[in-house]
Amino acid sequence: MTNILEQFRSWVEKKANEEKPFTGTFWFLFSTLSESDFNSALGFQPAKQSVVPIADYSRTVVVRKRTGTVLEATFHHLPIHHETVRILFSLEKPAQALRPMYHLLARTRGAASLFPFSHPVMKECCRLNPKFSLEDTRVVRGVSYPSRPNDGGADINLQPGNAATFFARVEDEKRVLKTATFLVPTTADNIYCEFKIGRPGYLNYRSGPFDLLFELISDRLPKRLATSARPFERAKGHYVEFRFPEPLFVGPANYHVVMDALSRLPRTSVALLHTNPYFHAALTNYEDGGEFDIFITGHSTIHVRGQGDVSPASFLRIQNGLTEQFSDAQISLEQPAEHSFKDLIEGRV
Amino acid sequence: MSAGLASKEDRIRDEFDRVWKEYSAFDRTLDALSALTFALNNIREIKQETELINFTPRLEAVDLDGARYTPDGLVIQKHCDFVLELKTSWNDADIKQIIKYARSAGYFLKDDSKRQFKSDKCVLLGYQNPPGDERLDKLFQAWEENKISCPLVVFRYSLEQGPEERMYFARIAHDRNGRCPTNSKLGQAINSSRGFPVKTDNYKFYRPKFHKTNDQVIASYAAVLWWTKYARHYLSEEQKSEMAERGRLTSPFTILWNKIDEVPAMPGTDVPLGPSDVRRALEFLQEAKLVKLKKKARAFEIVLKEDRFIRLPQGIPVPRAGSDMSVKILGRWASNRVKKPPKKPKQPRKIRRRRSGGRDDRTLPMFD
Repeated sequence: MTNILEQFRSWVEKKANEEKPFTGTFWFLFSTLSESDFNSALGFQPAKQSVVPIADYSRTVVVRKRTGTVLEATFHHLPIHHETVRILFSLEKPAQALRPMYHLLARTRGAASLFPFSHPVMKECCRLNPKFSLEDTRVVRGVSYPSRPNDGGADINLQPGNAATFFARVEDEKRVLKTATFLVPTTADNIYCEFKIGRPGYLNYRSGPFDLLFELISDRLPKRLATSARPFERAKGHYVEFRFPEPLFVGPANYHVVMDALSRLPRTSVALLHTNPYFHAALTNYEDGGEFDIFITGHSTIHVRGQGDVSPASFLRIQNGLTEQFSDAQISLEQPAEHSFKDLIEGRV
Repeated sequence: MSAGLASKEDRIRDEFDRVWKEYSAFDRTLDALSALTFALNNIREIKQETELINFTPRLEAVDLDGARYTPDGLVIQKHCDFVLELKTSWNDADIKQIIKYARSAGYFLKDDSKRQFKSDKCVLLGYQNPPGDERLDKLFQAWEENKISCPLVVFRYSLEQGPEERMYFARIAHDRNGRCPTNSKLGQAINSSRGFPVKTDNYKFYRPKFHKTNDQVIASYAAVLWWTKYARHYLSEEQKSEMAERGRLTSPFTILWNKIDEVPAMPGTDVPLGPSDVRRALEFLQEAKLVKLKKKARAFEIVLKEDRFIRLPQGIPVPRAGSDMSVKILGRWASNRVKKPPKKPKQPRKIRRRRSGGRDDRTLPMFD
């Protein structure tokens, strides 16, 4: 396996030296399906004489936009996976491949979905070598959403700078980072690896030494993503409880912060069904088709229930949205408890 | 000029307040259904005596009354059968409706087979806003006149705020109000002089099962639910990928009038919207200018988009929790209702043509 990975790594690096800018993109997918079911759900065919050395399956997706523009992308399945995380590779620009990717995923009816990159994950990715700090990483371009949906739909280009300043500004202004292109120092101060990371769940390698980035892609990142989705793998039919260390929702007056956090999730529709005295909202995420009911019935808990077969990756998007607004929460699964008739009559239910 | 504008804004706000109150009241009725479901499923003794819980029941019609009756709930227990109806507030038609339910002799199972009610039957009628004594007198008077032997128990349901929010059920204290059979724990709970509460934290588990009551959903509530929960299910794979990437469609999807009956199934929902509810939802959304009615094509056209692309009209008070799709839909509806009121369809002029040789019916015949 190490040899195969090494073969792939050197091929990517060689390609990146030949083609500038290189457009090779790694897509991180969540799926609990077996390898064969995964390939069949995505409509993959065995890759014969593939341009990508280690790809075992692939599929080309063509999307014709209403304007007449044709978007085409070929996705190659790489034999790299960790638990529920699978990696696809494409040679098209992310902007060209994103729509075909969603098209590819739409046919799986939720059995596979992109792994969302949270703000902390994106921040972690821009340090490939622990010898260097965030201040040594340069941000070439950053695109963020305005913090509140009512502030408009346009993306905002941030001023490039070092990553520490860049992330501090995004955090201060409570923006949702959509994409960021980094120049990350690898072995020495003046040797940089350039790559772009996209919130929907992709990483686009552009130039420079690839070994440390490939280690991130094939090992650290899949492990990190798989761990983050684990609490949600048994969520079907349960309520997921997010318990915060402090009482954040003492009354209806505090609910606007939750609405703020939910409204900032891109590609969503949130409708309040109830706000007083408790909070109940219906949320649909068009990115992955996840539908949720969200309740606040206590001072420090939010309960989220997915409708039907909601993917853990979809829960992860909600969690990312909430943790960007609040502190980290303890996650557990909840089901209704049984009580006695006496409890009911005496008002304890 | 400014006075005129101000009055328009006031009218928009009044319309919005009215429709918002109605929306919230309907939601509380669904809360009550969820709280009762919790009591039926999670109170050990009540669960043991309960054989069937159905929130979309169909009862046998009386005489030649035609369509089957659709109360809000049917609870079949070992010793007693309960028919449940919940109301936001009093309506004079309630009397006729509730007497029909009481006179019905049986109910239909899922396979359409019919079962007779047990002799111990009880009709439960819940009100969010309790009717006054005068109305209750009228109701019980009609009950007695119809010689109905089973008890009618009128109760109040209300959402109470305190350290913990609770849905509270209490039998209304009225001399002629009935009592539930005491061989049922559910009946005993309703008969209880203090009533019984169910915490929101408990009944939330059942809340997503209800999108409406069995026979009713108000148009505004249906519209918000349809836009948020149902609309996505009408999209093709191509449109789903477009929504995933851009958050809005470039071209509308259409629902033909004759396809409105094909409502997508909603997993985990016991009482989903039906075809007539979807029609009402689309009409409300049309009035909110989010859906277009294409009369010639006999279709509704919908350009689905995420929240950030939908504007909240000026003058709509933003609730403390912030603006969301419900405020936007209801706000747009209220604003358009005042600014661009729907035109009343023109009444066709009654022109009576005299057919040649036909009888002149403007005068009575002289001899018959």
